[in-house]
Amino acid sequence: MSNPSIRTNISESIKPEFRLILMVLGVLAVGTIAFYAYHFIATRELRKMVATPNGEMEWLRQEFHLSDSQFKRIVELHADYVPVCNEMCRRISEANEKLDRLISNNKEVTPELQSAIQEAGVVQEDCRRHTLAHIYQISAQMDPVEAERYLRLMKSRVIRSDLASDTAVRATTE
Amino acid sequence: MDDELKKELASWKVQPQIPPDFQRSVWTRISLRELGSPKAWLFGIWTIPQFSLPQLVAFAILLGALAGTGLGFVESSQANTKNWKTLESKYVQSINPYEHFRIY
Repeated sequence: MSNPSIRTNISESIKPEFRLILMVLGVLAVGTIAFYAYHFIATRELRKMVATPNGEMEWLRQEFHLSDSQFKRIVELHADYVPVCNEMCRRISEANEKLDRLISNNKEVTPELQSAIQEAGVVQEDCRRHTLAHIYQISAQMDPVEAERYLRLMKSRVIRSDLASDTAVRATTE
Repeated sequence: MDDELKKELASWKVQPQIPPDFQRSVWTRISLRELGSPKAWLFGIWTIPQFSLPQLVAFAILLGALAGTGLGFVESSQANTKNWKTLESKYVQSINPYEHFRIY
């Protein structure tokens, strides 16, 4: 049990100047602890989601308010699309590397270079078609309002008309 | 007469009674006087009202907790927005072959 008279003596033995310093230090100490504790707890869930390999799918579920059945179907569609996407990546990389090499080796537009330009264009077109088809497939699983929002977002983030043709080459060399 | 007075004075015992808050009231008076000094703005204003140590601790905890959680709320909101955008980008990367290169 504490003795009130002792506590009073300690309290009175501290000069006002030191009281201010002690109070500022106390506020800083408690404030720092409160800040980090709050920050840790409040950001824990999203930090975990970012670190999880399929965190982006959980993002999709929460962002577009997907039901369990919708989410399950979308995950299946996504899993089916991954090999297609990887194949398109390989084709883009090959076509752009070939085009890059021919542009560097030639001083004029040769038939071979012309063919490589056309090939890169075809690959690009093909990739966009596949990506767009996948986006439509995903949006078809969502509620109408959410599907509209999803399409709007994907249009701004994925289907960009100003995409440079050497994106893949730049991405691999960056 | 003088002897009697001397005897009375010799037998007179003073029993001083110091009030329990004597020291605190002294500090209060000192701080009130210091209010007129230049350093009053720095220290004097904080001594009115005179906090006891438990009050001071409680005030520091309350103020620190409020300020800390307030800043934590602002900072964690920004961090969560940033993480949410990161997840959005991860999803876009996972379906866009052109951005796909950045994760493989």
